[in-house]
Amino acid sequence: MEPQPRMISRDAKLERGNVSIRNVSLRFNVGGSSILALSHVSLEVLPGEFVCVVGPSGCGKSTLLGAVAGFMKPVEGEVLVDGEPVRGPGADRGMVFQQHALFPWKSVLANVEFGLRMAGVSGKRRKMVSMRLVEMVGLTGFEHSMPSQLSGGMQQRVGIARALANNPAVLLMDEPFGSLDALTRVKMQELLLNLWQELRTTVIFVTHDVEEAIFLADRIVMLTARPATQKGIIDISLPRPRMKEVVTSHRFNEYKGKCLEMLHAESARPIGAPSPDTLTFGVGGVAWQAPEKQASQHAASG
Amino acid sequence: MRTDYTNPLELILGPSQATERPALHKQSRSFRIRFSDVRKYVAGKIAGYLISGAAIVAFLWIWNTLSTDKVDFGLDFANVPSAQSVAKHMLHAAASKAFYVNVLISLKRVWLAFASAALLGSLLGLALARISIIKRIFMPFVEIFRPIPAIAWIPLAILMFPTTESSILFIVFLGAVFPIILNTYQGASEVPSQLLRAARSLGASRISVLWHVIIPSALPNIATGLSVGMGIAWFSLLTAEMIGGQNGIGNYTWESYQLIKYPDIIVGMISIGILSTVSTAVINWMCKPLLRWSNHR
Repeated sequence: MEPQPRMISRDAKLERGNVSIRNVSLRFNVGGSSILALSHVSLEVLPGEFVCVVGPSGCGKSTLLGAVAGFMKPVEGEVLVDGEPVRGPGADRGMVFQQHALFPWKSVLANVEFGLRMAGVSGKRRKMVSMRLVEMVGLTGFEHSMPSQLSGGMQQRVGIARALANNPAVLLMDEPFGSLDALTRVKMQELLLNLWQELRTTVIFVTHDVEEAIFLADRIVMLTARPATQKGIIDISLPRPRMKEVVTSHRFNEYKGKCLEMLHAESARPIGAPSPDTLTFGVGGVAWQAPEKQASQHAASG
Repeated sequence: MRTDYTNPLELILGPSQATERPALHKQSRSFRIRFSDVRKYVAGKIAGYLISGAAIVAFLWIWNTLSTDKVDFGLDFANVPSAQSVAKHMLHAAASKAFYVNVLISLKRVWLAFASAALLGSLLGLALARISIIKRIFMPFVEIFRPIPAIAWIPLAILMFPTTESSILFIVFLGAVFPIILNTYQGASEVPSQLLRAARSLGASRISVLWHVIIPSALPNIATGLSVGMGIAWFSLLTAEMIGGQNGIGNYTWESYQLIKYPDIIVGMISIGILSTVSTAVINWMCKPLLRWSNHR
């Protein structure tokens, strides 16, 4: 699919944070055999854009993120960040992991400071920036706590602050809220949108939760089951700033129908097809309804 | 008299005091329960110590009886010194300079050899875990030499080394180094890959990853290795001193046997136990501040 250039209404002047994934194929070895995880995936992410990557569990979404982060090397194609080919992990791409991945021997503040310390920033400035970030993620008062003393949601807040400390061009997020309870997840999603609106960092966010993706994204990239190829792109033109109430809107449900239709077509594939329960049908476990049915209900009530 | 609940105070103070129960109950029930819990806890502790103390007294009494009556039931207690005579000799040793010289000689040997083993062992353990070429070269040797007890090296060490002192140091080093290598290796091999990735994506260089991620992550294992290594260091030292040494606490113990100063054998044994325990405690105490983070995981 040809990436269409789009206007970012929020800020057209952004110059940092362009990610070009060009025809990337990637294999990795599991128990001696080589598995093709990505097959010819192309994607253009514009500066400041919030892109969600959605696909069945184990389809290679995280692998795509790993290729952008520089943890894994594509066998074919290349990834460019602001025109520079990715050759390994770097501080210009901040990463937030599924499991928090905080350094358990460092305090909250020391974790957040880590990137700045690696960049050789002086102690005083380091502390200033980190304190500000800790405040932005709502953890003031917990600077000197150890990660093990925090709840799952708080740990992810630290993870986000740590990744943002380096002022990365791109923020890569690998199902960061997947293991949180529903209420905390909603809070974290709102926090993330607020941060994004303030910092204007490009975000590539991997999730298997369709509702989460619609709520957060400017665009949703759907991937097929392994080997992952691009299935399609859905533009989400819900107004911003988004409040959680948007999930009950008619348009939100239309998007949901569209996404799930695409995923269902995918999971009907005979080989390598994921079971339907690998998809999350909404935050509260609310069953998804077919768009026709919703439309008729809508007509009946109206 | 109310009987709808049981009063914990009754268990400790008896029923007479417990008649004040209703008033106390109204005013500060939570305090009263906490107070009685403390009583119970302290009483339990004291009972525990009393039992342990009684066991030790019984042991000393049995020992004394067996040795003074020169009991022989297969095990011959005729030449075993009594607890009293050991106590006397212990006071005597504690007042003599020669005893302390021996202790200091042994301490010096252990700590010198142990410090070298700690440094080399942890470095090699880290290198084995993180550098594949080092692993390929050195791991076979670790596997070959590891099962050979350090004290099996004593004859060869005496033949190879120019002085007895250096051969003793070598034996102690050898005893301590393997647990340190292997524990460090294990700890450094099991660093969660997510932490390594996180550090790399935050801009850490290879050296920074080693210093900020691999070493801290391996520290609990390194500490275990050091603690075990210290125990084996003492074990190896005493054997080496008994066989090859002219001084040190191991030699003191062995010489006491040869010179028929039997109570001093036990004085030596007790000293060895104390020295080894204290040395291990020092190691644990030194490692403790570095491991605080792992305690409440």
